[in-house]
Amino acid sequence: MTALVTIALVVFAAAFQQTAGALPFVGRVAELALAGGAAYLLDDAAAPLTTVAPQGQWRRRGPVLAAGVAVLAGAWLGVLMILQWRDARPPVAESSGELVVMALVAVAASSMLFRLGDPEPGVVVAPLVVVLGLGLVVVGSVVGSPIYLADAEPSLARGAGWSVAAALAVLTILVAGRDVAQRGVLPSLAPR
Amino acid sequence: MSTALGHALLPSPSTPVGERATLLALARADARRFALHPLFVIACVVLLVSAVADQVQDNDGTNPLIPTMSTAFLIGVLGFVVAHRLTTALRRTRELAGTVPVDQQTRTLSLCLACLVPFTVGIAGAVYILVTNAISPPDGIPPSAPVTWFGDYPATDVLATLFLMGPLATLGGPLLGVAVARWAPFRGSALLGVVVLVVATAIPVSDAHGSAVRLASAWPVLTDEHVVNGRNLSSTFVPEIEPIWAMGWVLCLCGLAVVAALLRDPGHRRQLLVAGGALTVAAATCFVLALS
Repeated sequence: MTALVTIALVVFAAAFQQTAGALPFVGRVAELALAGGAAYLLDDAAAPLTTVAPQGQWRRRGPVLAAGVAVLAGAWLGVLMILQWRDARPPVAESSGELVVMALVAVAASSMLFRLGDPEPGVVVAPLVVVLGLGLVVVGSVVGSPIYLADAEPSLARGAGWSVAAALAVLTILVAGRDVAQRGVLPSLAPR
Repeated sequence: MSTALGHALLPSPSTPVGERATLLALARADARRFALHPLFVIACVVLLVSAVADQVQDNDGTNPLIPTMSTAFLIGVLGFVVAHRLTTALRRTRELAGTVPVDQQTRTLSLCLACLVPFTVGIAGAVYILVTNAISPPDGIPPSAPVTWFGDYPATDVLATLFLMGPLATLGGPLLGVAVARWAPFRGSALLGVVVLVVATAIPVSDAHGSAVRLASAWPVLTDEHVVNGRNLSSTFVPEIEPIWAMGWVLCLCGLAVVAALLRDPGHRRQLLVAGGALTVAAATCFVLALS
């Protein structure tokens, strides 16, 4: 749904804009929307039941994550193609890197909220990722130094910042995504 | 939430409670929930920090209305998310919420009244802008260059634009959040609402720079900055738009958001349709007058 509406929005903006002035911004919002969409991938309304199922947590999530990643990647490709049509395509590697990091941040935040007992953290996290991303745009313009990789020439500091963000997100996913059932239930059931 | 509602709504058995008293009690409880929502608190703290940073930094001060942008973004957009969360919370706790003897329309109206909380923050932001610019008046570069402030422009234009771009944005965003949550309570509606709100606001502003198309946005930016070599030298109002009528246009949009939210439930349909029709006519009139 998010992917479809995002593509529709970009198509609309690309088709009805007299000039391509706003398209880079629309592309940025689309990138953030897709990254925010990743937050929904951990939602599990039946978490109280499924977390005690014998199947491991990540094994259960695997198919949903794989399908979600494929849909988001396809949607991003679509967005890039539409922007290319209007000569407003951002640098592919940099903007895709931003998307991956933001998506990791979204999944990390979802993972943490899920761990804290919210079975559907995507509802909160997804719009916040968009707001956070737009906040970075505002901060970048206020400070006078772009924060996004695609907004300026590559620099070591900017690259390092995004890498650290990605590493922290992955670490959070690993720590917060530990299987509750295996940690809490299995030791008590283990034969002594 | 149930405790707060319970305290607010349950009178002693002998006290007769009118609809109005119930609504006010409910609105007070919802306003409290809004004010204490973590996202809203974070938005207020960030706004406060940015206001302090703005004072500490040595800005040129050539666009005194620029801080309305952070107010609108932080309180308006995050207020949208908070209002959406509070409204959908009624759905998520249907079993508990259903035990309170108040119909859904009254609940929606009380949530709309709770949106006065972010509006109050928006008013405080506007007062802050007025006070800081009174202490240190903005000037263009050179000083003869115009700035969007008293002295260079009529007071009504300045005040209307300040009110439109600041407080009204902090009211409109949350009201839209209530309306979207009432009509589209599915999980992705907050995300899609934020995305559509931001894009629909940004496109008219950026693509039709300086033209009347800006008014098509629910958050019309009525000022232009004149930047030379990366330095903002002066600011002017968009000449084709009359700020006072633009303010009326956005006020009517806020009213229409309330009517749209209330129309989700069957009660008072006729009155709401009449109000909606009147607001639509008023909005169209304001729009035309703003451009004439």
